[in-house]
Amino acid sequence: MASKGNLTLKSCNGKEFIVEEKVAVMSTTIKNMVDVDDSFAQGVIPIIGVDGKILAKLIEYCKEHAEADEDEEVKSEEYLKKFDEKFVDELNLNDLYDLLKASNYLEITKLLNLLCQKVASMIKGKKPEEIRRIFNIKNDFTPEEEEEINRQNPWAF
Amino acid sequence: MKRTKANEEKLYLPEGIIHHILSYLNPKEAAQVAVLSKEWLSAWKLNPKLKFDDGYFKNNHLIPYSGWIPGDCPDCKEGIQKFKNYVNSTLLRYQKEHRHIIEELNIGVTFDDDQDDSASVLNGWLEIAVEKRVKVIELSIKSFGQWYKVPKCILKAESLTNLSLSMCKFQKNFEGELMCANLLSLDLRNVQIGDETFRAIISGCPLINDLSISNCLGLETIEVVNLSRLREFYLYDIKGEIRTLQVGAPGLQIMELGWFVNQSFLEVYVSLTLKHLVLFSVKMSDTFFHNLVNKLPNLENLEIKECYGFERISLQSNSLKHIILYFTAMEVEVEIDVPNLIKFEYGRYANLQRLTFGGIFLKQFVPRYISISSCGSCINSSWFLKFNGMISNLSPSNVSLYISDVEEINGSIKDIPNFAAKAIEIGELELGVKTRSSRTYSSDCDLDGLFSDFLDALLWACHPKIIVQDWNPNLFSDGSGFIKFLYKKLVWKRRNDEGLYSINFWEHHLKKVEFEIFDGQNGEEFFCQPQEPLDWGTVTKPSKILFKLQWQQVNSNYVA
Repeated sequence: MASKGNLTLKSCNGKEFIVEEKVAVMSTTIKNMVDVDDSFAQGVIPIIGVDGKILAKLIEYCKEHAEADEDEEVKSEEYLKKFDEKFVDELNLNDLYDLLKASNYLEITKLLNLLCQKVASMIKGKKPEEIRRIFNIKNDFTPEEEEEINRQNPWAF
Repeated sequence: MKRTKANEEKLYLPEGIIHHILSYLNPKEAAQVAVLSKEWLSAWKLNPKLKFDDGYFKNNHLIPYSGWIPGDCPDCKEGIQKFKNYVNSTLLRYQKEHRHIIEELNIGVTFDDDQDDSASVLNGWLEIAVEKRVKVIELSIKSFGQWYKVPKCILKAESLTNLSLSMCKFQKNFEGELMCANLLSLDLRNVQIGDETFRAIISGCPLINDLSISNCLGLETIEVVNLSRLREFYLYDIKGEIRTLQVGAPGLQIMELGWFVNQSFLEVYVSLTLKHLVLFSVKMSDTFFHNLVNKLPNLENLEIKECYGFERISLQSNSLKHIILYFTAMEVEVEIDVPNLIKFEYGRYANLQRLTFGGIFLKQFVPRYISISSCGSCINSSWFLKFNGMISNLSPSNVSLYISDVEEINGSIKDIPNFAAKAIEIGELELGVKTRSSRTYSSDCDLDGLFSDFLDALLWACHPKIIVQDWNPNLFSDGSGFIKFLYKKLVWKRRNDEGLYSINFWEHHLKKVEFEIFDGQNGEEFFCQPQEPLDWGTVTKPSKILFKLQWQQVNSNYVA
């Protein structure tokens, strides 16, 4: 049972995390749940489709940012920037995809922006074959179809 | 079989996320993504944020370039025609499909010889976007001396929340046509807009929370008084056209002003809620601060960059937390009584001796851009005397110091030990070293000659508890030159002081040195005791070095 000011989040594989409310409401989805229904604030909030590993990652991120919002003297902008960089650099591809989807579903805007920027930076300046390899994307076009796309946008290639 | 399925599921991205990723790519990069797979193609085709730039079409030049003059380049003209056809067909596709949404339209286009034709084509695009209830419009007209007449459809767009215009002009009479009342953000750059038109837009768009005006023509009076939601206001006026400025928005948080030459600026009225004020190249008098800055009870961030026309700055504030002051070459007296200051950056050519602090507790003291430059007179013995005097005003001296732009020294500092001074103990010291591009530093010997005197003089003036140095890959060929220099200077030399090297004057006060090296290669911390000689071969890629220095209390002055 969470003490006052804390919320309990439960992952889809049953792992429970007790987090401070200010950390949890970095997620707009959770904030809306708590605002609308008081029982969520007392009991357990199920986080559908997010496993314990990913939920722990999300909480790690939200904790740093919630604390920084509260006290900019201890956690400066530069500190957060370094934290963000390290956070995304350490992710493997599966975690990156899972976190993208989880931060999208939970509406953690700052994290979603950070992750999408990371993906964009991995795309920039690379050839399609390279991008496919990095992101494990299967080319499901026939050569004719691919030719047709290139023909339609000759300026881009 | 099961595993494959799980993987496929995992690596699928919803369309919304792909759209979000595309928003961080330029039009060309985004179009290339379309060829990855059917999933990405279909997401790209439905992207609600449309960005077009004719720079990718001109004469097969893939990178947009400026300076192109219409008529000079037939190939470019052909490119622009191709661009127009491409945008046309794309927008028509969005127009036809009911489920295609246009949220954002961003267009960078060159007006060619036939301006009327270009304008009517652009009008057509904007009409489609407005019809599709576009929220964000960004127009950047690339032309010389040709302004695009803002079409009425924009002013009628009820869905519009963000409007950014460059090289456009407003028609004078549009009364009764202004319906874009949901506008939240307005950005005007090089736009012809009269006082009357500006006033009509401001009063017709009461929700604006972000207003940015730079180098507009025909605009002399800016009165932003009734915008109750205004949070951010930026005004740049390089042409010096603004005569009156009144910003009384009750919720204003950030204001940035640049390039004012008109003295009437001093009569500016600003809302008391202001938290962040930036003044760039503004002419102002000594009384400016008294009239403005010191009367803002919520001001937390103050940046004054390259302003002129004053001799003395006196800051008294309980709310200020961050101050940045850069001055150009002139002497300014600075008096600061800001008890809650966290970060302070103090700029180029400022007279160090004239900086005084009143009862201050600085947690982080960052005088950036103190240029220790090769201009000769800048850095010499008297600079260090002033520096010593300045930091002695900081008490208790629990501050971090960052000196950037440390360059090689031409001025004389050899006589430093002869001056009586009390070295000030400070927290952390970091040096941002800058080298002249024309020089290459091939050996440690060079570094010794260039920075040795500087470090001696610096350690005469202050006793840092920690010296931290980032590895700068651009600085030296082997990437660790300055770090090796510091190691040699602080650690290695001390162990070999059997008459081979003379002991520096500051070393008499240095009791103990420890250091830690952060190895960037594997991210591991690598700790080394000074008793053991350091084998640089074991450090593959030093990212950072940290020296922990223990000093004897300096009770008496140095004696000549």
